[in-house]
Amino acid sequence: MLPVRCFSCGKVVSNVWEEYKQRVAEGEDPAAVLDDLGVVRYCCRRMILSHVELVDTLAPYQ
Amino acid sequence: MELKIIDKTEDEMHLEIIGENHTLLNMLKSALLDDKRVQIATYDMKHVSISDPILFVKTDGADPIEVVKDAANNIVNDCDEFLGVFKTAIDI
Amino acid sequence: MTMEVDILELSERSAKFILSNASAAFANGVRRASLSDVPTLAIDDVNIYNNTSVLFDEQLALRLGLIPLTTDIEEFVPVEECTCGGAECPACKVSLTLSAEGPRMVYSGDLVSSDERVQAADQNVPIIDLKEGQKVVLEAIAHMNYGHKHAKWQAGVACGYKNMPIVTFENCDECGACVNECPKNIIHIGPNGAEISGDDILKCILCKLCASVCEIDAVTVSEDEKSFIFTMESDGSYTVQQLIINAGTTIKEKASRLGEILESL
Repeated sequence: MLPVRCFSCGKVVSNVWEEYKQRVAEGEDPAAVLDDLGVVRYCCRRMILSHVELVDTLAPYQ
Repeated sequence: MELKIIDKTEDEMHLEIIGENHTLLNMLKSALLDDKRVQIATYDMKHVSISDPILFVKTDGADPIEVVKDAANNIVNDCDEFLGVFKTAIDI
Repeated sequence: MTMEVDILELSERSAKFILSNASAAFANGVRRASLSDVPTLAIDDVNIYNNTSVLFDEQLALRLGLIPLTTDIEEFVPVEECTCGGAECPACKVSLTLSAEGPRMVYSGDLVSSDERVQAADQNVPIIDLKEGQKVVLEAIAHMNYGHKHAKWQAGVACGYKNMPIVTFENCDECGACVNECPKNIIHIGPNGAEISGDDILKCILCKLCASVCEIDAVTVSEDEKSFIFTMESDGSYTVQQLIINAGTTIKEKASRLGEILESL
């Protein structure tokens, strides 16, 4: 799961994750999507860009 | 907020302001330095999160307590002024 | 000299304004107060009745804590300052419940609050992705507290200021070196040599590259020490206007408390 807030500035970033993931999968430029979603500072952008989603990988191992 | 006067002479005072930090102390120091009666005004915080700041004031002979009281009043006036102009600015 | 406020941009969550005729200490006071001294509500205690999701209880509690909750500063007080003396009355605590079963994504909007004024500021913050058969049932208790205790109580996000830049050009020979060097592309050649027009000066980051590249030292970069360009952002617990007003009020209360104590000595 993407951390709720940006580690550095505290802005809530996790609410843009699903839209970001979907739009990038459809072939949009990640930078343009982030600008459009209002994630403008580089501290917040790295939260999303560097995120690796593990929920689906972990799900079978309860 | 709690105050502890560590030592006080006629023109000097060490005042510990328990429960406060740089937010108030830096403003207080700056307000004190604007006062003509004040010769030295400074504060020390040993550690940012676990210590309480100690304010040191040296005046030209005026009562340090009165001087700090006036500085606190000046900060209150500054805040009133800021809140006033800010509220007028956002009403537009 | 009286203070002046000039609003450049203002929306629900963010603001940009110029504060002039104020001291650096005052500007810093407003910045610090909005980051750490304006209290907000955030989930602090979580009673977990069932959690079979992929996240540990602690991780789940952290995610819940970081969700901004809409707060009315008049209605709530931090537990330590409450008249109930730490017994946790409705003036210092709000309880929220969450109960969900997979497969589905649980959002902050699924939190059911016992107080209608207290809701998640963003309804679409993902809390946990529940798979088939996974369940989460919990009660979360929100308390009011300060940003310096934990980042979850931080009402202001990325609040900062810079001094108003002053860039002057004298005897410019129009070589254009500063125009090319400026990382913000705000310098251009006008009728009387290089210039920065209108509000472009607000974009200046005071890097002084224009001054260093000028061979005839025609450019001087300085700053107005009494004027500040503020950028403030709120996490959603307050509107940004309320946040700034609350910051001013917080400092005022601190200073008047100090005055009162000294008066009573």
